[in-house]
Amino acid sequence: MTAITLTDIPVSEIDLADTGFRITSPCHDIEHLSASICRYGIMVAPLVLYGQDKYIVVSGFRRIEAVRHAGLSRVTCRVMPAGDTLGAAMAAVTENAFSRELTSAELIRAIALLLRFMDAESIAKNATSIFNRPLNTGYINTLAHIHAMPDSVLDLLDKGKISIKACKNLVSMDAETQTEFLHLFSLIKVSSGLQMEIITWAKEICALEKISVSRLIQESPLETNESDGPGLEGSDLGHRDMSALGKQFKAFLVQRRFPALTSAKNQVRKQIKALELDSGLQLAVPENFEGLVYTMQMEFKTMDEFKTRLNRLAEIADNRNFKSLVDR
Amino acid sequence: MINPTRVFIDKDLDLTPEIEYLISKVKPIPETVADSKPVYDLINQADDPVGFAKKVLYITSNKGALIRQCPGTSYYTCCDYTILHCGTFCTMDCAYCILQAYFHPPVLQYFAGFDQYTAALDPIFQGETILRIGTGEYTDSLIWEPVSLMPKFLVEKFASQDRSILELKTKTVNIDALVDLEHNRKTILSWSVNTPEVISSQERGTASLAARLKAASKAVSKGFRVAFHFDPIFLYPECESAYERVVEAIFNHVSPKDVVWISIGTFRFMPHLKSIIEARFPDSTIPYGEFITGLDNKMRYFKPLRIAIYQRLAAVFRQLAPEVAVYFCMEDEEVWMKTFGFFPGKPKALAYMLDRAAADRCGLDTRLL
Repeated sequence: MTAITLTDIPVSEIDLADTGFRITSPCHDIEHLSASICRYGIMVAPLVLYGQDKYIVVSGFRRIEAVRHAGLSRVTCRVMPAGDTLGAAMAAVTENAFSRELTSAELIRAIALLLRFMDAESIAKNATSIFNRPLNTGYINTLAHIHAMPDSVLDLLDKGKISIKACKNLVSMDAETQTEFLHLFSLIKVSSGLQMEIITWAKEICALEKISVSRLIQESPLETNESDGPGLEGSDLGHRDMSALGKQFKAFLVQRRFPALTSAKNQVRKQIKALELDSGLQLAVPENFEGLVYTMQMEFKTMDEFKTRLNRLAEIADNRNFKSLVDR
Repeated sequence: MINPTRVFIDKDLDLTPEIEYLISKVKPIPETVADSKPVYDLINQADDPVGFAKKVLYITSNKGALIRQCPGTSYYTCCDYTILHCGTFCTMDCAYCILQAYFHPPVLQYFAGFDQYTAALDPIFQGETILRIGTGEYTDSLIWEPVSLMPKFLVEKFASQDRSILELKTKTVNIDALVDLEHNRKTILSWSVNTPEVISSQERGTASLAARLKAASKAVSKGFRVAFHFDPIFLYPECESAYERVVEAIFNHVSPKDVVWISIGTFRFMPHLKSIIEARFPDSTIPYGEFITGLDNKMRYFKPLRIAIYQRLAAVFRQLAPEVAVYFCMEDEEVWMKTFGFFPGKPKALAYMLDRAAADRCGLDTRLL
């Protein structure tokens, strides 16, 4: 066990710029924590490692930022002896992992941190005591690969704009393509399932058309929107705007990936609309136009309604639009 | 070309002339195994089991059914083909090959035992039904020709009767050991064909289109009947004219009267083949066509796209070879009607059409039709 001492140290001697042990995401709002510390003090002392002339933060970055923000000159910390970097890495992970579930980005940072000191197999073997959950070697290696992707991946993970599953899909791609996809997901916000579909369709379109993902984005509604205004990246679009953009982009990809099928579906939608079916009648065409069986569903509550809709069906049988729809 | 780095043989197999011939033609000394497990284990431990399996030959006997019905599905019309199960897998490497996904793992197996084949075929040869029997469902029929007596045995075996035909389907030009045999027109040498673009980009280790057609021409000159299979057809820019040129090239090499049948079918695949193609052929875009899930749960091109290419090809067939039986492998009524204007919808109707073609071209007993 590492000998830890509780010491009152000058805030100026803590090097907040050294984030080597940090697994949490950068915090943008520490006002509340700062006010709380001023009023009630620090409940749990931050953990620091004694280094050359400076203290390196192991756990408690936000607390120390808040102390500094509050203008306090000294803070009580738990101090680890110089040189115990492995112990510090373990502590950085376990302090967080046993107090709450780590986010995806934190888990990835934690794995990358521990891989500096041990291999994936050792981490897997001790995962329950370090992470409070089992982790297998394959998953650990995958997380390490995600960590090796461009930096923005962790930011997007922190913001919930990309899933681990989607990241896993990107891992095997070259760095440039990864960057392009990460840029794409910085512009939209969609579900994990849709992220996977977007990656698949975009990758396939690019392979078929021999273009890059960035070129595809340029030709998409995202670029149109970007050129309309001050640029989406870094802008403060609301969740709804980004979701709407995501849906637009999906529709763009579907149309481009499946042009004939999309066109046929749109055509049929128009033809069915032109039939002006009553609300109690529903016409379904064969799925993907592969089979031959059409379905007409009729709902009714009374005999009169039944007769009315039956008459409507008889009218439709003579309708040219209906005939052209069925005799495709 | 069968050129294994390791050869395994069942310990129970007798060293018949058939097996001695095969062993003499492959370099490695066979390793005796009690069963298939060591072979499967060896292949499964490879990074790319599919690629690795092409270099491991397993000589064994067929412990299951030697004669099988083609596994068609209910919705799409099947030709009721019969499979002679004499081997599995292939040494060539086509990106679209279903065998990559069909076997777990694929193993290059040679099913030895001429006696067993005789016992299975003789009742068929004395039966009351015409059968079209092929060996090219689970393997390429003629990759075995340079190393095995099997193709020769089968050609001569079928030559002695008039109730069934043997179809040897291939992408090779391995016919030298067969062309001078007494075949009695009961063996159809058939080639799977594609456009030169597809062959060069998606079919590693296969013969070129020109070489296949030259071989077909040679086979015809020796009295063999031939067949061609446009399967799988791929849709890509300008593919229509490219496939039309293949049809023209065929009939520049052989006369329609020597062609028993031509099948056409667009690319279709079990969904999990996609990831195998992506892993083994990273430059291939063939899984990225405009596919939908078909009624047999295989991925198929969107139907109007299939019909469009079929109509183009049908027009060329009508022009160049109106008397040749052209048929679909696994398509439905709408596709048949819009392409050919008829649908062999009754049970066995397509089978009858092809039996008739075989009887006419190959001299089968027409009383059995």
